[in-house]
Amino acid sequence: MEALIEITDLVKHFPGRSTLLGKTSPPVKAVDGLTFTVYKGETLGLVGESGSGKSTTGRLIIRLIEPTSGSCKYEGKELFGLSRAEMLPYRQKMQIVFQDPYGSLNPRMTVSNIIREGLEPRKLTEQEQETEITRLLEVVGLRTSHRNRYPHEFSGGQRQRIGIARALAVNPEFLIADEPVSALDVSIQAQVLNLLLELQQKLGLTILFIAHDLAVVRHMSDRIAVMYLGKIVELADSEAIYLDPLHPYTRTLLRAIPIPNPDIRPPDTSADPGAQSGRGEGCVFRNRCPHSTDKCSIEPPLLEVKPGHFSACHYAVELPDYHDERLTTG
Amino acid sequence: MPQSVTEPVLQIKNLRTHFFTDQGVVPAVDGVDLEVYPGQTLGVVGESGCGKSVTGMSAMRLVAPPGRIVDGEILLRGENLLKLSEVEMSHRRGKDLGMIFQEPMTSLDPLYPICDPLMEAVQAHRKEKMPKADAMAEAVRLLASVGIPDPERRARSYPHEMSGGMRQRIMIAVALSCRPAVLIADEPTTALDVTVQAQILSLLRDLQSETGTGILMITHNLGLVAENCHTVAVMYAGKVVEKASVQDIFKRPRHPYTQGLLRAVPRLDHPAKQPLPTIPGMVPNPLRLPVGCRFQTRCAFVTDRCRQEQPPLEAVGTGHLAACFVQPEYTASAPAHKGGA
Repeated sequence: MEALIEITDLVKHFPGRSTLLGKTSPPVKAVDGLTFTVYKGETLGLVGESGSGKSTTGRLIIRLIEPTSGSCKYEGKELFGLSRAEMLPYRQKMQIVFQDPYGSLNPRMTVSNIIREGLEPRKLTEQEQETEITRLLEVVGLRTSHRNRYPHEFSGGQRQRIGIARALAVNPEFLIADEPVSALDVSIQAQVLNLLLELQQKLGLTILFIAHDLAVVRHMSDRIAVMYLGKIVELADSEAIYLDPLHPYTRTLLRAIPIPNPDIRPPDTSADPGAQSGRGEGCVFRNRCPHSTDKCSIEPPLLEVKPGHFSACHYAVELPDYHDERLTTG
Repeated sequence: MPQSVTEPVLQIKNLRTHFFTDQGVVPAVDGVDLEVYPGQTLGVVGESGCGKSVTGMSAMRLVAPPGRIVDGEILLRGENLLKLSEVEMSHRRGKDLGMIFQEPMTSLDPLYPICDPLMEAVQAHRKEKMPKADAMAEAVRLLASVGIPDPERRARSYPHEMSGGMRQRIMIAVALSCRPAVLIADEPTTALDVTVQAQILSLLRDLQSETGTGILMITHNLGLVAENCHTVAVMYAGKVVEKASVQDIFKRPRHPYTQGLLRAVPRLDHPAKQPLPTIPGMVPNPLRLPVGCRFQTRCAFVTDRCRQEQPPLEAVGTGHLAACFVQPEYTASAPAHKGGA
């Protein structure tokens, strides 16, 4: 498999706020040393709860925000440190679709003008632009007769299609989808997920799919990286993530997902400790982990514990076998 | 556990709540019947705009203009709440009927420590004034009952010092402080992380088995319905289209909309990267609802009759009602679509 994006030791610390007495709170380690590769043509899912740093990671890759340190290579070429002008060709190769289909479209522009903006770098004639706008609207399943309407005239699902059409206007190779369906109703969510699957097949897109819903991420991804407090704690093929999770946090996350089958009793989560508490030294999950020991005060590195299966847990191979009876009944 | 489950504690009969907007009348809730039994949870599911939240607000009589309850009865232990004066109704809220909302961030006053709403709740429905120290002790006891660690100290914390999950626990403590007969929970965990959601719902189940409270749970999440509800009502465009036990809804759904919703959810136990069966099209404009069945434009089974008559909610099995003339059997794969979307 050929690498498209290679991230090494990616770090983003947001500075702490100063208090009234002139003290400064410690920096927020939003992304704290990520190393991973996105291969050509795959969907890599990035899953985690709020504050895990998954959205920050997406924004760092396309340089919407600047990293504290680290490296991001696109087909071997280092992106961090490039000037605006040098970055321009890569901005055409990488596009992002956001969660909020209400806030991410300019309300004063018609649909065709929103898409036309994306076409600019391709230097098309006016006639070619019109043809391309028609084609893109068809690709994402919108009526071409709606091209002169404004975003507010569309439903949430349709707006998300407009956002996808705009992203596709530059013929990107790499698409970052940041919670693209979380604001949508179930029936509309399925339509947008299908569209992304279809586009990937047709256009050979590489996708970084960021979401908090593990069932949705599993449905869309070839491989999944699970994030917790700025770190990747586990990375593996999506089947392996839910059939053979090798990090205690991934197991906690899986157990918490409600399954739409009334024969399945909700698992007892009372032993799972509560909110994410501040992290001290060592493993990020230490305070919540049922398996933690003194050894966990040393931070476990993300290691390949089975072929293609990475876990950042000292006990990854010693954890009891995972068996989710909820996935085998019914 | 529940006493006798023959009599519903809350019964909503033919409820109509309409919104009188400049563009016309929106029949947000249009002839809805629901029953909540003691110690049981009724799930009300549907997508945005189906009227599920307005149903909950109507039961609390908290619908704001331009919305108005235009018809129906809301019977709490047989007493019609719609006949009460506003003063009488305010005595029922909190004491007999509690409510928790989606946003634990905004439902607590940021200027007061969290013991404040709790003490207010325990003092509100008493004839004699309760000494402050007793009210505080009761507030601390309530915090402990919803699993807040170190409740004595936490009682003096302010809402901003607490996480979303903690705040929702406090809202639950406030809502259950008077042991209401009915709790209306409107998307109680939608704003929370999935691991916190699991804990909050497990807490609600435990409290329910202790107090016998009947819960009306409004949600869009079918997984939560399967895990938490005894009976389910599926709403579409202001109407209940199917109502049954949780087993029947998930295993033998007879309304094409319920069937479509079940198929459209990505599931851990289904193959990945396959197209999901979708419900084509979108919900009808509430100002221009079609004559006949409101689901007709998205339905694979639509007939001429569906375009002319509204199907009534009728029994299709024991305790199982569906509003569909066709009542197709459920199949895991989606039927070919023939309705004009």
